[in-house]
Amino acid sequence: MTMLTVEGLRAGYGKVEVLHDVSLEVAPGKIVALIGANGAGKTTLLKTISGLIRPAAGTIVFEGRDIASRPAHKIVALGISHVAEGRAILKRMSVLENLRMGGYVRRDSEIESDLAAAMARFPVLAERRQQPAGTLSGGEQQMLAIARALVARPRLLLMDEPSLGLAPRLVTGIFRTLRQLREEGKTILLVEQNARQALQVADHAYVMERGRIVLAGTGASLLDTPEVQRTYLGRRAA
Amino acid sequence: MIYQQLINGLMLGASYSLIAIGYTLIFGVLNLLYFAHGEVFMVGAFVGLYLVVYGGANIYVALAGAAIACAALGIVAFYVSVRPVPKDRPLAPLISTIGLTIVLQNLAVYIFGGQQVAFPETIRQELYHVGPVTISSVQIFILVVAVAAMGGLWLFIERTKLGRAIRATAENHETAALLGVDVNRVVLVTFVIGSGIAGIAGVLDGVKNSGISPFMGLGAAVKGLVVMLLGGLGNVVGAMVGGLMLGLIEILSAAYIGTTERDLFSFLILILILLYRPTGLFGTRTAE
Repeated sequence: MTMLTVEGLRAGYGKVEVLHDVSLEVAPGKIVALIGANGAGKTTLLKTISGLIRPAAGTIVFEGRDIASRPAHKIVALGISHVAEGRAILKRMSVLENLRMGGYVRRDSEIESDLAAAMARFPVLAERRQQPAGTLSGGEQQMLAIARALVARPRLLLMDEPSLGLAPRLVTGIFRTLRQLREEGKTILLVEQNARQALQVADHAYVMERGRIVLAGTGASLLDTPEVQRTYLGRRAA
Repeated sequence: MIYQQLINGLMLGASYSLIAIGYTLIFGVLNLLYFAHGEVFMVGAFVGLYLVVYGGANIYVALAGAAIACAALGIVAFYVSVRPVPKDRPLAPLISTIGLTIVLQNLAVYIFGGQQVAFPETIRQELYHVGPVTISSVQIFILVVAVAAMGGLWLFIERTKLGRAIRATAENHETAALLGVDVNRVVLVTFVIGSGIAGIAGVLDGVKNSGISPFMGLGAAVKGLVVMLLGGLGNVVGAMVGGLMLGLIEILSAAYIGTTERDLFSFLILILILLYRPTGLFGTRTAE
């Protein structure tokens, strides 16, 4: 039983193909990590799943439906939220308005209580709710980006480098949040350069190199794989 | 004297504001200069005139009809001159919308004739004296309609879900799309709203000056651009305030310095803004 199945995916920018025949699976309720060097195609993969990039070939099946080449705004409505790289918050809008935008795809009446829940999860957002989001610190902006994605009530969260550029203490906080979300039943596909912490938190993981998946396994098994240790964990071969 | 000039300045500025709103909305979501907006304003004036003269409509029907016709024209303009043009060539839409400007202007000359046409009296002229100031019923009407249009638009942009979607799209298309915003639809909505307001401005201009011509679009387009730069690119409130300011500056300089220098001052301001405050007086974004 999988939630997301990607098969034979080819995609890129214009004529430049970045992803060559990528396949992966994400099981419900798990954290799946995707690690790899800069330029390996991790971000491109997430953008293709969330509909920002149209694939040239392959299928993306989410909960039984092929979503490949559907537009991004329809994919969000199906239950996939993408927390983009670089804390893509709306800087000119207030913190509260950013959170409200998270509920843009919803039509039910429980949005207000979800806004309150989002601010309860990250109390600093409640304090700054009227402030323009651009005035928040980097860590606060990342919290806002995650909180905003949650307001959409997604079943699958795509997270692109949530720890990028944050101080170590804040990175720990972000990984704690990821674990909490899994306990609450969310499914997460996590792209990270911080390979060690990503593999520690992940149930399953894939390693990407130059647009291809080159290794797969449980997070723990990849932590013990010599090639992974050499290339991504900065440990010399014994 | 000074109070009278202030009223006149606000009157002139209100129509500048209404035109600049469309520019700044469209610039906000697409980051492009859409030049045909002045011609949409001109078409609005003629639609209003025809509704009054041949349709026997009152001024409210004329305003509504012009707004609807211009909103439709805005959709056509988008599909003809903006959508087909590649997004990675920033100058291309400027050229294509200038092309549309020429087409619309010549069509207007062909249909309406090249002469200035008198706009019929639709509001009974009455003069009111308030202290030292004389204000006419026409002036009051124009101010009320302009302020109502701006207030309504502000509420829409700030307080509604679609308004938030427009602001989100103006900040970043990808981010908006990832939150579920149909960006193409939002862009079309801004063309509809901006063009509809330009239609209202066109009719108000006819009412104010009691004459319209197919060539009125260019001047309006240039003033609208000055106001957009004054208020900050993509800043709706900036466009509203900037329009009123430009109107005041023009009227006051005409009154105290000389009528022939009126336009000189608006361009002087444009140059000063570009030199010293390229983000506009209330700007958030740099002119590129």
